[in-house]
Amino acid sequence: MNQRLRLLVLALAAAMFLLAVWIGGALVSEERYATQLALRNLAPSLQHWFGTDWLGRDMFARTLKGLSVSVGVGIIAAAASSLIAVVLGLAAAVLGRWADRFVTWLIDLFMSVPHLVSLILISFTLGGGLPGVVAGIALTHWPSLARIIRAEVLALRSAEYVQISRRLGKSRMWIAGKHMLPHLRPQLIVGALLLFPHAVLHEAAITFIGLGLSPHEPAIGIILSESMRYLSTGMWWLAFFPGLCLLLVVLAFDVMGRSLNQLWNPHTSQR
Amino acid sequence: MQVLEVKDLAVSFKRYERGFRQKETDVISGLNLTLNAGEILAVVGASGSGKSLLAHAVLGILPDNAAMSGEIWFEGEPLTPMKQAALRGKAIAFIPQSVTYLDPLMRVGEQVRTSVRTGDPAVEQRRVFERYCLRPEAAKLYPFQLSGGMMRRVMVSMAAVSGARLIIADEPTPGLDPASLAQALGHLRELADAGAAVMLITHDLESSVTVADRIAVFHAGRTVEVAPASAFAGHGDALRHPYSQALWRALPQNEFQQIAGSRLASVSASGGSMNADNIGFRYGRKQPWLFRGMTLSLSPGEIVGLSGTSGSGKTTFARILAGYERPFEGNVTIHGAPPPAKGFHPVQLIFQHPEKSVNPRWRMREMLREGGEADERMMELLGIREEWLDRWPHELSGGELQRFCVARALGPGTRFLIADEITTMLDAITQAQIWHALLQIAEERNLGLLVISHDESLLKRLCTRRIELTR
Amino acid sequence: MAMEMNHIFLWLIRKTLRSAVLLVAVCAVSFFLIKQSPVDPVQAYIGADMMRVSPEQRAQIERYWGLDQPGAVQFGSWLSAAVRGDLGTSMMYRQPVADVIGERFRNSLALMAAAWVLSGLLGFGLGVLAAWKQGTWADRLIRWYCYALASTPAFWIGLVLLMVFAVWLGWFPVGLGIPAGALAEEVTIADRLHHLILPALTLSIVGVAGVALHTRQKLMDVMESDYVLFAKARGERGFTLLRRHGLRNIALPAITLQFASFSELFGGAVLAEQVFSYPGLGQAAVEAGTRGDVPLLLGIVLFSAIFVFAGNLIADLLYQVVDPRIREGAAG
Repeated sequence: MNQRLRLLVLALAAAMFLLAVWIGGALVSEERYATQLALRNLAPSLQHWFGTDWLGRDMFARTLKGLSVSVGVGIIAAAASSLIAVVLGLAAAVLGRWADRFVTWLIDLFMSVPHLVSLILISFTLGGGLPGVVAGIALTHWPSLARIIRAEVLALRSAEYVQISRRLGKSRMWIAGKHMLPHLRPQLIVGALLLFPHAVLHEAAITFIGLGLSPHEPAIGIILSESMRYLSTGMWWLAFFPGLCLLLVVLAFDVMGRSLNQLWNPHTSQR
Repeated sequence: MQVLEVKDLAVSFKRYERGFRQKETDVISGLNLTLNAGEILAVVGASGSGKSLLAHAVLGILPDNAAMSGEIWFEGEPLTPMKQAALRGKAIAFIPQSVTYLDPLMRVGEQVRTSVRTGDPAVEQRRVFERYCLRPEAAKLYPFQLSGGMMRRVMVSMAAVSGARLIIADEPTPGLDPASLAQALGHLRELADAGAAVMLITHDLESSVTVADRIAVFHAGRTVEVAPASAFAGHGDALRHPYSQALWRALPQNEFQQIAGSRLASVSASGGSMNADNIGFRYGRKQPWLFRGMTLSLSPGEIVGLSGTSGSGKTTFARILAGYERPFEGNVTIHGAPPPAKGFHPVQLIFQHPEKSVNPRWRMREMLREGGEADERMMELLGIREEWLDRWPHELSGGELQRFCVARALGPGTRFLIADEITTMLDAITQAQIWHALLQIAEERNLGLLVISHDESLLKRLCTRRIELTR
Repeated sequence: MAMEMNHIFLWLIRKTLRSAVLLVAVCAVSFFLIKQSPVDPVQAYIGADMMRVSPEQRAQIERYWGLDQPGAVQFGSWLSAAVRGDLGTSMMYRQPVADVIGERFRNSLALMAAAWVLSGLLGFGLGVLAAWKQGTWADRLIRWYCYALASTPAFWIGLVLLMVFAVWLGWFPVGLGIPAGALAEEVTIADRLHHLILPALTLSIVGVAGVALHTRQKLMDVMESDYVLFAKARGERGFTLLRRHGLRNIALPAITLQFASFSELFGGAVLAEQVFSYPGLGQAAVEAGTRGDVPLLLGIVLFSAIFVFAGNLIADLLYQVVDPRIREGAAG
């Protein structure tokens, strides 16, 4: 099996895994992780793969549900971020020098504060909860993708074959659709995909510090921050498994993005 | 004394096709040559035909996805990978073609010193710089600060100090003007006269004949003929293989015309002419002028030649005429009116590097259609084959791509055509074919043609009028 | 040489001015955002006693803090005070914001510096190794290790380290910056270091991945370049080839990347400090956000932006001064 095929298989496997987590978690009903005081503080076993917590809730069900929430929130936030990035990146490259200067300045502005600090600020502004998380992540992650899109479109505009096309009488719209879009499509998809891991990680982080999703949701960040209280009592499974699963989910997004990038990027597609 | 012998060399690559299939492409399928001390052997073939790989194969630096077979003997002994590793840079040296082969962060003096194999590096470096007329201060320069001529001399000195007995020069004269060309070739002659065996890999048959002792003609992956340079004279009768004869005869200073009876177009004053009035250009208000006061008049049916030293702004001038740039002063008019800002531009420009002029993600068929309906007769004239239409640009050679670029530029709305060094990188046969086709079409449609080139013989062949652009 | 210094000096002035404008914009946007927050600053300050405060007293408090003025005026007075070094008073700590930031930053600095150096060196080394042995099992191992690490939540690593080294093995303390309940005079450097190690390790582990992958990619690009091919053709190989052409050409990008990553460093510090209750600036930021301490939050936003700018400025300056193509291209 050559390298190309291997990459595609990898990307597909990652996608399937994510789909399973997302749908599986969504299908978990509340009763699966309801409080069962009789089953408190159990270590991992065959009946409870990830053990139970201090309220007797099954950690596996909680984790799965939490992952689903994280994936869902991550996708929404990453999609919003990508949209902003595409619009602003294109605007900068296409609408003339002033638009370019403005967007570049805007990018510098948003990149001058560390992500987490911005997230805290935005979350504070919107009073925490889901809107705060989604808005925060969308507004902090668009700059890097916008930069890439802007650079790509600028390079395309100065490509010889694009200039020739114009002198052959083709309109700007025609050139955009026929010459530029085929080039940009893979870049966009890969760029957006590679946003997901960051989005999910940051969502978990902001929830972990207490400024994200509300404690009623079994989000991974909540699970992990609550587990801190019980670590010294030796209940290691409360933190270990949920975090490990989050790692796998983020890794899956990353693998998907990177494999597709290597497949489609002309520089590496001959390796 | 025989220094190098290559027998049945074959080099192939593994490439990915669309989808997941891997394909092995033979780039060289049978190369044979011998080289003696003190002589220059020129290996002449079309650009991109894979002859550079010959150098990499002898040195043992082929890329990982290349497979090699055949035998190479150096000074009577088989050249194994171990021997190659031992002899690289010592007994066998390589002269590359551009500044990208020098470490950008290392001063050139240091880079030359690291090539010295015998004696004190500092002393040798100073000595070789003197020999090649390089100022001692040049040793402190970085590659990006070198002029083209200085860069070539630095690379020759790196080969000279290594004391190599076999020197391989890969395309050392890409598109050079006659003076620099003569100087570069002169250096190689000196190296050979000092006792080294020199292999010159190039696409330029014309200049090879002036400096080489023997010439190996390379075509379609094989050595077609190896003949002494003296055989390349007159009608080419001393040459045995039909391809070498055709190559020789296709040169503009020889017969050039393949189609009998084609003559130069006469000037007919019908329709509007293109006028460039007092054109001046510079890159910014505070920058020095690239050129000023350029005035040119091109009538339909006329063929004008434009030449000048590199960097004199010929390409920029061409771009201004074709509407790619706006002049800083002066203006361009066609039949008295300024050319349209949108829509098909009546002045079409064909660029030197066809690989950059086509969208790598389009098939050739689409690309051709961009210029208007594909005329079967034009395709036949230009030698475009039906099966190429379904190929991707990276699957075609420079010569094949350039035919498409010419066809695309000859749409129904074209009144004037500017050819900016369009065949400089191509072999003589392709060059002749393309120009014959162009001349015929230009005559039929009464187009005005501006030919930019530094090839004197070509310009003499084609043009009725000449303009020189000097700095 | 004088020409060069002049050129660099001018560039520095221009860059600083641009940064100043951006900083003011950052403050303005942050101020505006905070004003939109549903959190009532008066309530946050008073807390549970809010019920017993009469409307007149409330209005008095608002007037005292200037909260009855329009937003732009408030920002103006904040800005003019900030330029003089007065960032207001922290509601939680009842101390000047500048003092809180100064104290907390000292702690964070130790943490970040340690992690920065460690992840920089280790990441560089791993990256070079992976690129040099490209295709072998060593390369694959390092690559997958880095991919996994880059996908790992930093706070989870902190938790795991906490569990293993502090709870199970008991080698390190479970949290805080100094031994709990110790008097200021009794705390030694050793104590501080002892509390620093786990958070610093947490921060380093995550940082290594990014540096290693970036270094690996850059070195691979260099090894496939034309000039390395020519060097090979001249007989150079092995470690000499790597040292002479490889390392030289990636040293500058590697170092500038380190300086340009101050942003991620700060973000990571926030998480690491949260896990270990380490009294740094990151933890203060979280507290300020959670408890609605507006002056402190604003001050921290400003400070973190300055921190990021400093890093980017040093990175750009290095390029200007060290890369001959930029240095001599400008003066020549």
